[in-house]
Amino acid sequence: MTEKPDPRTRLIADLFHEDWEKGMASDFARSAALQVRRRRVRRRTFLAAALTTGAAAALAILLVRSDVRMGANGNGAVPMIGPAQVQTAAAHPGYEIISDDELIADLRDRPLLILGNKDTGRKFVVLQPRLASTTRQGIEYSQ
Amino acid sequence: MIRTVAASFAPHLASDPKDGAGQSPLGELTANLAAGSDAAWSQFHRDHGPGIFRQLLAASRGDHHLASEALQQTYLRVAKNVKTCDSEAMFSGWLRIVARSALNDCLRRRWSWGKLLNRRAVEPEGPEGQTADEVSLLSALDSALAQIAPEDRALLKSKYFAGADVNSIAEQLSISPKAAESRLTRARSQLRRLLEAVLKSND
Repeated sequence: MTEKPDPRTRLIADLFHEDWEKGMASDFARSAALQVRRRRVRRRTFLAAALTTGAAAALAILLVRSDVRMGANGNGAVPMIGPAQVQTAAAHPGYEIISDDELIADLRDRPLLILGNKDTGRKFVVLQPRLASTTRQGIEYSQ
Repeated sequence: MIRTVAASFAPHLASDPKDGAGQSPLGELTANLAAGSDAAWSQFHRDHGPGIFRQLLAASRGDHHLASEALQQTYLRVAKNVKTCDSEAMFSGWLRIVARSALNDCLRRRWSWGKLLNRRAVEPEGPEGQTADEVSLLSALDSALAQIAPEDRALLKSKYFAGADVNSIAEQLSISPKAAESRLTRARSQLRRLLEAVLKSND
């Protein structure tokens, strides 16, 4: 039950604001209402922007993922490294073990620079590699 | 601070303005306030504004410029935090807290913090949330009313205490409504001058 307001309250309001309902004081109420509406519009705009951004981000992620899958082998399967590929890589290492005879054959009639000594370890550098050689041209042999 | 105050009422205030639709008149009013309806804000200004202004005028000890500034701040804070509420007592209590806080912020801009604390210390809240300042304001008004001319007092009493409108007052006095309005304006001006003088002498 609403309590009946003290009539003096309205009298006081009218004493200091000549026209309480339509005068300057009512502008306060109007600007408050305007503020509420602006706040609601801002909130809705922000929500809409957030939803749009989220949807765009989700779509972009989906597209990137599907591109990765399709780009691998065109059938949507995730590319896998099989045992055969591993074996192929192991068959072509970055070095070669050669026999003493092969080494002597490679060095025959070619100047050889020996760096270091027995204590520090020797390094053999072929100074004039054979032009025709393709496989072991300019190889450094370390001891 | 206001957010904390608003949050303390949170269990009793619905978060969605639509929740109040079709409930009590206050529930409807508060829901429409939260929706920014001009009509609701006019009604709020008409029904609750005078009470808030009275509280602010009393707390500012008759400084009506300060009270008006605080009234505007109160409305803006209500606009920011209002939610659907069905309880008249709770809504009025919340409004009083919001108004008090808005006035304190206005005072803080004018006064030093220490002066504000001293003021708070000497003004305890009375029963029903009516402060000693409000009681003092109302008794100052009564005293001012007693000092104005009897015909002006009768005019103001019939308008504000008996609820008569300008037309019926004009009819009663056998004058035109415009003349009655102008007599009311004169009577209010005289009463305001006297009230300000009484408030000043009380200080």
